[in-house]
Amino acid sequence: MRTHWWFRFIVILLLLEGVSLGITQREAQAVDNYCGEEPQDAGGLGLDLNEACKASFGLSASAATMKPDPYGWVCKVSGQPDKGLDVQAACRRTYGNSAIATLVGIGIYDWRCLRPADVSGHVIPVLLFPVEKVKASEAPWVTSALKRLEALMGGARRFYRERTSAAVRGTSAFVLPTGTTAKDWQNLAIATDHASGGFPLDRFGLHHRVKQELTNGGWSLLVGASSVKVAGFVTLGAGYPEPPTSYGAASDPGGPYFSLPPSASVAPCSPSTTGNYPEYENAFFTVGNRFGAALGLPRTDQYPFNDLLLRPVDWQQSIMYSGNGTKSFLFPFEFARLLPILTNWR
Amino acid sequence: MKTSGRVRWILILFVLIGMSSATSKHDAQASNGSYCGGESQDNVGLSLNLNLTCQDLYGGQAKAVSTKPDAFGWVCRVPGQPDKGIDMQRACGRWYYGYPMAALVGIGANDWRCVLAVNTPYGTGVSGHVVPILLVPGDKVNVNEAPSVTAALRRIETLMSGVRHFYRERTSAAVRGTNAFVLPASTSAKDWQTLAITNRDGYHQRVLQELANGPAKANLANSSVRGGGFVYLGSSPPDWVPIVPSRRSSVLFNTPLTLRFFEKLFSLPEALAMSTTANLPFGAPAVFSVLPYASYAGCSPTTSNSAAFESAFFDVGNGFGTAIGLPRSDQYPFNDLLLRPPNVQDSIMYNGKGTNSVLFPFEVAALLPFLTNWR
Repeated sequence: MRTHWWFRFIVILLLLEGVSLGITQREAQAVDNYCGEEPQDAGGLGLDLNEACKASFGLSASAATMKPDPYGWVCKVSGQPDKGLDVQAACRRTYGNSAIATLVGIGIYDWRCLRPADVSGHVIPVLLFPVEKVKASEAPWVTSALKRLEALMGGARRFYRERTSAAVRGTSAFVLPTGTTAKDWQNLAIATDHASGGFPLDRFGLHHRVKQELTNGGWSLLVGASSVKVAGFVTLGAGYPEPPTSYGAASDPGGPYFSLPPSASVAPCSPSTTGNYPEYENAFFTVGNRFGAALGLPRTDQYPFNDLLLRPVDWQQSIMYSGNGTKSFLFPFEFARLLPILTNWR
Repeated sequence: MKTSGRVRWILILFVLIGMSSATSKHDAQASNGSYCGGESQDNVGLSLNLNLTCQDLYGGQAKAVSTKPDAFGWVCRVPGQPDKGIDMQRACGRWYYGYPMAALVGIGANDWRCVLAVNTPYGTGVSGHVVPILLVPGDKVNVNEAPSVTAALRRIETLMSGVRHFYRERTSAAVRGTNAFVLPASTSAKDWQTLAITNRDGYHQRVLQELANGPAKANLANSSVRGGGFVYLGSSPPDWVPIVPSRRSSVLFNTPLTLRFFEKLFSLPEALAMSTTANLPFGAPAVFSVLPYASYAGCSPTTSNSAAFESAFFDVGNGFGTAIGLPRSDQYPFNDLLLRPPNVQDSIMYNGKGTNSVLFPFEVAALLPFLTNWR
């Protein structure tokens, strides 16, 4: 009986040591998933649609919704036919001529206004969502997609912040319904690599369309009056019959817009200690790479390497070259280039 | 009896488990020989044919003779004439161009070399390099000290190499250095010690003064060299040497003082021109000095660094950082965009953490333009 007690004691001791070592090893191998975890600003300013109707059509006017999506709003004036409600004009009237109306989802109460001063010096993820999919049944999917974008963009911002010691500010994600259909987005994206679905090969076809849609949605007004960077995440919506392609990422070097392929908006991450899915790792690299280019970073092989500025042996793993997902590098000569940009980005 | 045996067995188990845990923790913090060298150096120093020098000066019958077994025993001997001293600096100037200066790679008779300020077909110059200089008290320049001086030279080369490796890894830029040289100093070992303990500013001034008094430094005005002044106290330094100094106290800079140094050394306009052409962002001094203990801080790639080496690494890294233009880490304009890291004290330009010191991105960004133009 006594022997048994000692034996049990030793077994417990060994188990405790084993657990302790296990925890230590797990801590040592903890994976940083770059799954968001960066604070974000500017969720948009409220828009009083009743007030907007009154301002346009008199004090007896009121806002009413005719269908369960953001486009169902009208102004009702007793004894008169329903009148369309111009949300862009309402934002401008309320918040100044450079304010734009935008959506934080596709529900009826999702209209917000953004002013240049609220977003300048920030990167804004915008979900370009085909207008034919704007219906109540898609709302939960859109909400999830916006969260994914915020996590992805937040992860990329954290990547740059950690490597530069500079703030890399961003906002919550917004939705822009697009006239471009899901099918056309997919084909435009594929056509950046090869001809597809009636679209000839055009490396920047998707990017041009993204910019066109953003301009149509009033975003150029915001861009023109601030130093905002707009990340256009093209999406195909739920239930698209093909896997969203990963082709199509592009940016204007140092410019205000960069575009992401359809696959990026469906790549989820997990804030657990296990690694990311390959889809997220790819999306992370793509977003980090295009954001870097929009901030003004050149490709890693374009620096004037010589006997003083040494080309790193693993330079291909830079976020500005082939990368390595969330384990991509940002080399000293790259963050030295970026730092003055970030510390003056207001 | 049986119980006692079990108790012993369990105690042994405890000890083993304890050792295992301790080893794991130690491994996690291991810095075995980290930054114990790691960067190649340009071995500069061209040979000096003293016989030819004597013949050139005093005719074909003259030859160089060493009258004592140290670096200062050389004379030119011409039959029937009294011995004549050799001006090593003039000798270097006779044989080489590229702003040569005479320098010692030890304290033996055959340790004289000619060092070029700039690159020539003869060899690599020291411009764009950091040069470790061991200041050896004149009373220690004797043959008995030669092995110890040689060992100290190797130690400061390793230390400087580790620091260069640190900066190269963190900047992707080459950080070039040379082998170490000896500068015989008029300050005695005891005076060095006294200054080190009682008056660190005075210690630094004395280092600068000794460098200024050295041979032919004016030629360095034509280079963008950075010098590290290390002090040697002899093969048996007094045991009252402060082996590990308090943080941030052993590397001293004083820009006006440094300018005075250059004024004396090179003439002020040249010194200022050097700073300008070197594109230094913060008017960095060209020489840094380290307390004597650093010359004795050895390391091995296979064993954990000693506290003295870790401290010396920080001191040299910090001094070198200042000499190449880095300000103290808390002097950056931190605000809502340039974020002050919570561990800013860990920077090599602040309190540091020995070989685990940090060089923050804003420091790299400040340094990179200098390093990539440092020739």
